[in-house]
Amino acid sequence: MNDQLETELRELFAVRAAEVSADAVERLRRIDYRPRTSRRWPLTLTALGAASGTAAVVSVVVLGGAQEAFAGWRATPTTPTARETAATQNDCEASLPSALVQGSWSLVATDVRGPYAMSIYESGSSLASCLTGPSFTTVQAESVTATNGGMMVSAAGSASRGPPAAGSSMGIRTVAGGEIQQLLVSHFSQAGNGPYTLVEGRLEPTVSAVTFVLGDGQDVTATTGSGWLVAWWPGNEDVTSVEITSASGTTTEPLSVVPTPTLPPPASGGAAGDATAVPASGGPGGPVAP
Amino acid sequence: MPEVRRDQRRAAFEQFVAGTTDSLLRTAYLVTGDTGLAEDLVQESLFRVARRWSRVVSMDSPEAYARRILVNLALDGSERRSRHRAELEVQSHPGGPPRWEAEIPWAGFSVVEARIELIRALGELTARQRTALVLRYFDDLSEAEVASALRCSVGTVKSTTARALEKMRALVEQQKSADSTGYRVLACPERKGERR
Repeated sequence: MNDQLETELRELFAVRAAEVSADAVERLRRIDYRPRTSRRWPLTLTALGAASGTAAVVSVVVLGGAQEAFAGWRATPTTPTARETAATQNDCEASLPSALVQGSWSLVATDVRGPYAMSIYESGSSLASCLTGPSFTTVQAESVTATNGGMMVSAAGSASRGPPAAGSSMGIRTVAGGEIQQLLVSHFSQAGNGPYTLVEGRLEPTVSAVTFVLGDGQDVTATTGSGWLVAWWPGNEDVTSVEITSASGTTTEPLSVVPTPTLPPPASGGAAGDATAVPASGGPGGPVAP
Repeated sequence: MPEVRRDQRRAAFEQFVAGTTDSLLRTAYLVTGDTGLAEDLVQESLFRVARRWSRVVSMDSPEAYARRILVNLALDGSERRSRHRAELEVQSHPGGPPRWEAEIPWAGFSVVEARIELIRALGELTARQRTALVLRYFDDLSEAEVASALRCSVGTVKSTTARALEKMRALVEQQKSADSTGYRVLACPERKGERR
């Protein structure tokens, strides 16, 4: 029966496809798509610092639950309602670790994609990313320290309740004088939803939009504002380039992520788990398995 | 030398556009059922390919890359249109709209002669199911190639295709039992600016 149906489908599709006019094809062929060439050196997400920094990523899964992997996620940020924003902040702030920081956390950016909200908090040299979904809240806290010419980060993960969201790898780039001043790319995996990739960074105020182009061709528009950019997507697909829009126009810059080797977790951090750190220079080593 | 390479890349891109536009547009039309929308999708896809051409040109199949972008754009847009339609339908059809009307793109096909039940059944599928069928039975892609285009596993492609065919078969049988005509001539809504 399916064979017959398949045959009929082939025939039907062929008939329908023939409705496409030659004029339409010609119109599309005549467009000047202007393939661009990069005007800049590729950015490389790599490790630059070595000696003086410490960092930690603490993963705390507050609520866990089985569900389809990040169902409803969108490549373009959506606008949350005030009620959703308040609920997200409540969930996140109740989960932020206090042992890693001195002072309090300040919310600096929120990126909402369908039913998921990624909130970025800052406290001194520490950053925390809080991902909330319909049935979970996951917090990753990072303490990032500048070193000579670069940054250093290490990570640790654990779970207080439910399945852990494990940190897997991280890259850093500081672009002196560039529109993107600092970029962190992190791969995480959460039981119930699977892997996801987070990009967070600081921007020059002149930047109005940032779009990441992934290895599979998908575009992910970042949330930008107040000097920050945030984007994340399900899976481990790496960024291949970034499109930066500012007052001077839009430029496309290739990106490549240099795998970072594993260093021991920091002595303190409030939780045990995975750790990654940035070496003095990009070297061999793969993502850290959760 | 860099100028020569740039010219070569440009020439390769023009050749790529010349060779793939027809195929991409037909796929887009089958996926969306709308010529204008299909043109928009192909144009946007080719723009995106152009932006990354220096990388795309060295891929095994630049066409597969372009098709993947096209499919993602189509599915993303379909989801947005569905949500918009759902909002409108709640306002205009409190009891729920007729299923046929709920699928605007396929209902709008300028069908001359075809199996109405087959088209109706296609209209009942999700955009993702319909896209999987188009890629399999029009573009003749392998399951692995469809999986790459839809950014999912081969197993998901198999199950999506199987469920789509099963649903179509059931719907076709259901309609056949209700109406033994089988073939019909449907009205052809003319499209502005379209030559037939």
